[in-house]
Amino acid sequence: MATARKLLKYKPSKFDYKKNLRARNISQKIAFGIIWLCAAIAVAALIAIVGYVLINGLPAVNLEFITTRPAGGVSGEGGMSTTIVTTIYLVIITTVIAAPLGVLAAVYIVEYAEETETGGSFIFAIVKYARIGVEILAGVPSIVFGLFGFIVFVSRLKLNFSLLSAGLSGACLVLPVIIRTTEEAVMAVPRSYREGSLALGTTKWQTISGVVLPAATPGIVTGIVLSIGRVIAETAIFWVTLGGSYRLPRDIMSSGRTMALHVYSLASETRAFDKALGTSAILIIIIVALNLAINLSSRQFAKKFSGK
Amino acid sequence: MENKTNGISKLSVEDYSLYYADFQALRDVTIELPANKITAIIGPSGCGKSTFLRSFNRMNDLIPSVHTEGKIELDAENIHNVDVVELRKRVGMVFQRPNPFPKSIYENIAFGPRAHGVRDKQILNQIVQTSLKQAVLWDEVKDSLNKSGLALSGGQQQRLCIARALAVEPEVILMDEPASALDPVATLKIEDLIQQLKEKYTIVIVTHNMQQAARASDFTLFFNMAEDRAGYLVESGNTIDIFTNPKEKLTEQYISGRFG
Amino acid sequence: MKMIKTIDFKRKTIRALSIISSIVSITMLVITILGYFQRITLPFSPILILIIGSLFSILIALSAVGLWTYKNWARSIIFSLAILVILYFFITTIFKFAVIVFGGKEVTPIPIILRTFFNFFIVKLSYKIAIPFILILIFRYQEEGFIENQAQRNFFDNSIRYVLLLAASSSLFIVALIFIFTFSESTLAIEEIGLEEMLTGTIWRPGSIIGNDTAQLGMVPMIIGSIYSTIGAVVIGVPLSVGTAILLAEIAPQIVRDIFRPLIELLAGIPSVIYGLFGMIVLAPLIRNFEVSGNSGFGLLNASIVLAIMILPTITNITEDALNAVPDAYRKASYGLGATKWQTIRTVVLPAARSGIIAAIILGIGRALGETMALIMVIGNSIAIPTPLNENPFTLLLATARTLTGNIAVEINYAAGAHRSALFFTGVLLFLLLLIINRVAHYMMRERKP
Repeated sequence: MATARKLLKYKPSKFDYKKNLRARNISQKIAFGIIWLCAAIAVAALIAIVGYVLINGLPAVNLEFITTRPAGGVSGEGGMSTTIVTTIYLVIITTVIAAPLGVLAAVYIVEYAEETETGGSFIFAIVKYARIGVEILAGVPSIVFGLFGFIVFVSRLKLNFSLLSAGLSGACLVLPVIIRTTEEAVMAVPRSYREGSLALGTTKWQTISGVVLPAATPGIVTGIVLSIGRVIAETAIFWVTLGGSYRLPRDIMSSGRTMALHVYSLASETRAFDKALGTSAILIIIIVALNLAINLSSRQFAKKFSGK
Repeated sequence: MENKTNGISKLSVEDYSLYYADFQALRDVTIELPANKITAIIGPSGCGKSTFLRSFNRMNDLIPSVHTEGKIELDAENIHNVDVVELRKRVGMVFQRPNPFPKSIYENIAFGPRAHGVRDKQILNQIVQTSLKQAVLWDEVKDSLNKSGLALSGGQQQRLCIARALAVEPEVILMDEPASALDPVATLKIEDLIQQLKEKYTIVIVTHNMQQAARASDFTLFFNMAEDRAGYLVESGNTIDIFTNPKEKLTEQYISGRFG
Repeated sequence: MKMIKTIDFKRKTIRALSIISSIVSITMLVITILGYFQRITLPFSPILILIIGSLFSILIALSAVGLWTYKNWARSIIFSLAILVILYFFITTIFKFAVIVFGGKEVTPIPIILRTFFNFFIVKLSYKIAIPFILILIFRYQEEGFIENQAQRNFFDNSIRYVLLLAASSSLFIVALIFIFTFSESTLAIEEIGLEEMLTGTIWRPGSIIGNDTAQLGMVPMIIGSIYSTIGAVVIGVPLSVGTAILLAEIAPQIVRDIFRPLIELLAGIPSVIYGLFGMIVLAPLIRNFEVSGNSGFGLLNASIVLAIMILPTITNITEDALNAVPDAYRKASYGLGATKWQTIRTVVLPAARSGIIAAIILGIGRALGETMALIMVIGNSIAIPTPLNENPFTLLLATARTLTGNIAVEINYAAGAHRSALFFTGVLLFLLLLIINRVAHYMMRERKP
């Protein structure tokens, strides 16, 4: 009885639902406003940077700029012809080394690694950790790759500052990218293709090379293009393995300078900011083109594979 | 279990059991399958029909947790003693969902023979044409062999898969519910095709469709699922006998639709 | 009948090739030996000649044997060798061509380019690749003459397994190499200078600069520089990126998403030097507007802004993934109870995605710590511990500093002895630090799964 009386004394306060809703809506408006602002600032920063570089850099770009060699020294005179060629060389060397290695590694990780569970030998067991290796490799900062390339390729193997040293180091850098994208692409190939091929009496490798890899090619190509973009954009690693010569590399053992390195040299050693901006503008255009290519091609390939 | 075969048995199974790790999926199956006949495997869902079918070309070997007891013989040769690639060449398979490769029609069919070492262009052309004719697809695609295999209709794709299986010149063709993903018209075409193939090949077909089994096959196996969910062979015999005069009560119940 | 005759002829050609190959193989072996002992001069180092020469001659000898019995693998070997030879000539021709066209001060004019192109590629190249090319043609059209059987195919299948295994272990191998070599290079510094001095010393004055023996290699200024710049980047960057991620995942209409996402992706691909350039040319003058003596426009503020923009795509991407992974059922339940969208986000979605967001921030920190070139250009690179420029503590932002990464890049080219070793030690530190950071982040991302 006493408790009942206590309960009856309790009166719920009047709750103004409308006022509460209004308050919540206002706080939502404020919060969303801040969020839109954050995103706007982020995008504005991007537009500011890209816009500034393009607007101020493109005027410096003309046929002469592209076709003249940098003059070196503090004046910053000259163009960027040799840097373009060096960048192309480096991209090709890095891709040629990293792509086959990465694709084959990814194929192993996806197709063969499960067999290690049913009592494979010690060696096969180690490769279960290959995935961890890829993870670690993906997180190494580029300057450490530079140090690695410096000590192993430039110094110990006596390759000196050369396209080869830089290419080998660059291959180590982009290897995780290629392995990851190839892994995804191969895993996306439906199991039914593999079964259909094996049921015809083919060996595992025939199935992989004849059906799985061709089906996974769009993804693999995307990975390779991504790694190309990475090589073009990287500086620290090549700063320490390629050297800084502004001349054209005569062969694979010569030093050289990529476009990104050229921007750095111009900015830090000379006052030729217009040329630096010009080179940067060209770099940005190339990166944008690569991004577009990736987006377009993945859409195109998706269409081709649905058969319509 | 009695087994009636008239003629030579192409495939013989003796006390065959299959386990997925600790779970027994098939128990002590013993049967002989006749050559150049169509054998239908019927039974309720989950009783191991497909697993049993896939044992004949050792597709179950692809699953790491599988282990088996007993033996299966092809032409009196234990299939585990034969090179698995050779085995799969002699025992072909058509799957439930059509799975043509993302290649042209020509390449789909030429893939198998190429993998087996045939390189001569003329021979390959010949093989492609013969296989497509046997699969009753030649007239429909002969002018567009370079079109992607995926651009065909469902029924055509399945016939393409059959042609692809025929191209490697098998002796046995395993079919896992080949028409279940197709519309009735395409289904009929496939059934006619299977009847025609009977002359040259031994066919084993898993089907859910009892009318199909009754009208299309010569020999029937009825599987059921035991209490512990293991599959076992209930009854086997000539199709006519099974469907008109089944010996086991379970068979009669299944055929009259009382379960499954 | 006719088919048998053609096969017969093809087989005869193959046998002829077999004999030629054995002759080539022997000649190559002779040249290799002569070249190794430098009886004749070749344009490569002796060791390289030995390796490549013996490799090639063994391969060709093997193929000669195989060709005699029409084996298909012999055909594959010779085919690949021919392609390699063609590629080699192609590449050297490209290099020579580029030197002619680009080597001078200016690119040669177009008519000369065309003429050189014709000269190099059509004329000279054709000579060099004639033989391998013919070989390739022969092998393409002789396909039917070769035989192979299932046993060979199975053997190949089994052996390619090992090739793939080798490729797969390359990642582990490279990681091991990185660790071994950077670590072994840093042992000198650890011995001569000692861990304690390096990790707690506050003065960095390498002997190789001031030219005397007493080098002081204390890395504390750089450690503080890295920490401060990272903190600055996080303070500026995290709100921006998390906000952008929330917008893209929860609030924005599809059109906005379709525009913003590619833009953010683009941000991720822009070379870091361009960010540095931007900091130098645009931000520095802006910052110089703060009327404080000693303000050069470069320093921690500049670095923090630049770094914040650079880590934005990383954090945004992963946060967006984390938000998208929150099951829609949570949101629906919240709406059903009458909550507003913002309430839902604040009280349901964000807490559910918390570990993912933390992982994103941690990865962003890792990215900031690893950045090198952009920072060198904007942070000032002074070797002292950054301190406020006057009594106002905020002027700390205007102080210049140097990061661990920047230290390596700036000094590695002329460092020697213990100095260089200390830089490698910095590298080891960074390697291990990033390792831990990435592990923690991955752990956090996995923890999210219920």
